[in-house]
Amino acid sequence: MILSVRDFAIGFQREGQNLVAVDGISFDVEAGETFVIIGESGSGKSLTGMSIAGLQPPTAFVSGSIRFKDREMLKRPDAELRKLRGPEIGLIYQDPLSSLNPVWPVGDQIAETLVAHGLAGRAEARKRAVEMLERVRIPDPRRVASAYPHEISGGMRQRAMIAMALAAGPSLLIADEPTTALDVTIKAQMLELLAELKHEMALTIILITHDMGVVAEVADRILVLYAGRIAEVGPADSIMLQPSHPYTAALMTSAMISQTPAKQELNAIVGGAPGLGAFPAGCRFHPRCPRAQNDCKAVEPPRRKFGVVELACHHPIEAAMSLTAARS
Amino acid sequence: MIAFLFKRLVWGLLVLIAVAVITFFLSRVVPADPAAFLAGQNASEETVQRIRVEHGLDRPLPEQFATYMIGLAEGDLGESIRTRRSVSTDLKQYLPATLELLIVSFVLYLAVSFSLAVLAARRPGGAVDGAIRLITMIGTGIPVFWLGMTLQFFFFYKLHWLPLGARFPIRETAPPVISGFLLVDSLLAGSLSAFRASLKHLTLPAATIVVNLLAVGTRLSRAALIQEQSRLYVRTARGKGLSPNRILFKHILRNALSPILTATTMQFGYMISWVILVEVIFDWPGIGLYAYQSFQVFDYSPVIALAIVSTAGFVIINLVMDLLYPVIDPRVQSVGS
Amino acid sequence: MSISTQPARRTIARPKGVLLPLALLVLVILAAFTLLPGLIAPHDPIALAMADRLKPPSLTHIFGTDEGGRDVFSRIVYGTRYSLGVAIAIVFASALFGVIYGAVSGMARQGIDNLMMRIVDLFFGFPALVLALAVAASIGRGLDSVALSLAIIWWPGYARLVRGEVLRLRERPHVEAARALGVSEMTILRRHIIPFVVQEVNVRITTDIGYALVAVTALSFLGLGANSPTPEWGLLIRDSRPYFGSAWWYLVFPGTMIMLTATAFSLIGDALASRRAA
Repeated sequence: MILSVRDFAIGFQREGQNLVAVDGISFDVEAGETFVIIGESGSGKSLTGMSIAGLQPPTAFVSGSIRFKDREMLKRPDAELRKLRGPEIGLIYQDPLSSLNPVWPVGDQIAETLVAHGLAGRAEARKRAVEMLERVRIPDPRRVASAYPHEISGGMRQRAMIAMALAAGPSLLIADEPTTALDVTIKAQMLELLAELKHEMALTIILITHDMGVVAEVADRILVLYAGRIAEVGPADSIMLQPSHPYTAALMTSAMISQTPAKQELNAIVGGAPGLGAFPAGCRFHPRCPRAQNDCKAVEPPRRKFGVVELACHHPIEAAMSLTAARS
Repeated sequence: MIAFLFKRLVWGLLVLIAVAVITFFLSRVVPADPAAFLAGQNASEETVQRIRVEHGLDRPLPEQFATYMIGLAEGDLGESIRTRRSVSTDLKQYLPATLELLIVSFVLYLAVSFSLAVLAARRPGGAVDGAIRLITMIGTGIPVFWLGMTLQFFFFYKLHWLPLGARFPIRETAPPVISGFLLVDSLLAGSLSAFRASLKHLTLPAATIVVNLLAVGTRLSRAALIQEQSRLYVRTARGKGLSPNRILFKHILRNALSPILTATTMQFGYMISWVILVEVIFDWPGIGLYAYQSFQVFDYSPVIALAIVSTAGFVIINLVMDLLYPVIDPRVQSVGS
Repeated sequence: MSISTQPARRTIARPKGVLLPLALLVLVILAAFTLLPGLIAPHDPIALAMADRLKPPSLTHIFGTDEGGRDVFSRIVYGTRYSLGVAIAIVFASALFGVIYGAVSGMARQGIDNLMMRIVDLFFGFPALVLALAVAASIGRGLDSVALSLAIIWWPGYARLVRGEVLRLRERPHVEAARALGVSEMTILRRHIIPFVVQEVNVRITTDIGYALVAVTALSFLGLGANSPTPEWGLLIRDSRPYFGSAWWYLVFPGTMIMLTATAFSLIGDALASRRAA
């Protein structure tokens, strides 16, 4: 086990009110797996991902525990967290163009990770930056290393981001919507690359996404987050083929019906996701749930084991009927 | 690149011609009788007539204009009635003093405003930031001439720390003129006491200019830095485990440089304007004081020359700044217009 | 969802609170000075009283006296008309010309628009005050020549602002619709564009009055404006030069007046701007 999250909560104070964005979630990530956190915007998935690296907004209040390789990450001073970001934890984001510094050549930005952590001198770091670019399958890495971000294509930029995140040899890669801005072909290439790198570099990957298409390609295990609570967590196969939580089922259906990104389709589930501070009582999904009954409105479902998965639902879908139920 | 440079040069030339045209026509067309105006109030009819012929004012206006422009093209800025020398000779003598003041003030201004902006941007909303906002607000309303005199009041009249004005003590011999910059010349002459004396004389005029520019300059730099702080590449830098200082100095500052440069160009324009007032207040023997003293005795060629020379300076600064943009920001290939 | 990584930031406090009422108070005082100087000023601003020369502030002369024994406070009160009056005249004249110029440029065909804007650009290539100085020197001494020369460098700012606004407003759907319905360009300008532009210009005018005041007093200080014994503020400071070392009041009060006035106008302009933004 490389990461262990227990009762993690994060929220903000706004106008004297405590707005809880993520409300006491627990999960483990095993070394070497690809762990996918899926949810709509506002579900708290990015906040969770950033908090693992100690990058939660400074205005946020947090509670619970996040242990990475037996180190408590919450409430650790930033100076110590900095030593982990880069050599232990790498991060990539969506929108690589804005995420790269526009006035620095790509190679220098990759080399900087090594230099800043004292892992290599300037010349050595530059050489290793070119090697990293080669590693992420960039043809002509020398040219790209001396190019500025605006001079290379979107796919190349995301590859360069990956090279930068992995340059210092981290064991955990947190990828926050890494494929969102990319078109379908490049998206597929990027996922393939991540899978290969995971193998070559013995990585653990936490992938944060709202895109079901991405999930199917790479996930070992999936965590479904809804309005700051865990809906369902378990092995990727069973969650995708036999979703037990009505929300997961709805996500899968909409992804299967259409090849367009699941995000728009998610909104086709009755209503929209609740906003921060407007979470309903009882099961948070009940206003949009086709299976909701009276107890769903009153009592928040506890998390429990259900076959091979764990879920929080009063009326889960039984294995045999799950797909048909989801389609109806 | 060459085409761009050429375009900017032509534009600069156009600006210079415009200054010449505006001042020429206003001086010839607006006063009912320029010769009488030049001759002064109690001049006799003969004197007026003599001045009219002397200055070619009896010729038709287009001819006068042509003569004037041809003279300018040849570097002839006219004669000064007061010094009885050609204006260009006078300018050669007075320009180094002005340049020394401008350069020292500007370097000082850049250093101070940049540091203040960095301090403010590190903790937006903090104490330094609040203090800077207050100073900025009051600073924009302070007339530069009044600020200079207030400094004189404290540092000369009350504290006796610094001289009232001039560039060098009258009773002492100035170092031989080599560069025209007293700070440099005194060091070249190996005289530390002369260096200290010129530095003392420079302090108040430079401080006046710096404080005046600081108000607007710091606000602009601060805004640029704070805006850059919210960019996504800053999040990336944090994700790489960089320290806040490294992020600020290596990433944010570099990106904020372009907007700061734009603000700086504007500031330079103001500085050229305010330097005249500062020279008058501190009796600083530069081209501003020269033009001012000429104007007091109705000698106008130096004033127009000052306008043309300082516009040329401004045009050159603009050109240099335009050439710097692509160096600072690789996304700017070349500025079209 | 995206996560902001920047540190906590308090929203920049707008100058409301005590500052805005204070600025408005300054404005009321200035209006009183301008309209009823005779009622407010305790002494004659011009007549000499050599027996009282360079007296420090006292109950009879709250701001002290100058080298002619004249009451500095009374001179400041009477001077409001000149300094602020000229500043306001400059800004209004520039705004009027700039608005017309900018509107014509914004509505004109592209070629004409380009040419008109090039001319405006030209003015941004000069160090403005130096140009004003040369112009004022060329046309001779006096507050009228200061006003004219500053107006000449001031209007291009308005032309640029207004043209930008006009181009923006022309793209608005209701203006496009009006044009499609065959409403004439003149009517569009008058009914759909000018009223909006005027609001924007008002903000600019308010802030600019403060800057114009500083410019007017600066030119007066250089001896380009009014002649003694006119109690113009910049000229007061010019006249104080031989004496302020021993007579601080002679320097302090006129300068503070300029500073207070300029800051008050810029505060009110800020408040107007944030009201429009809200």
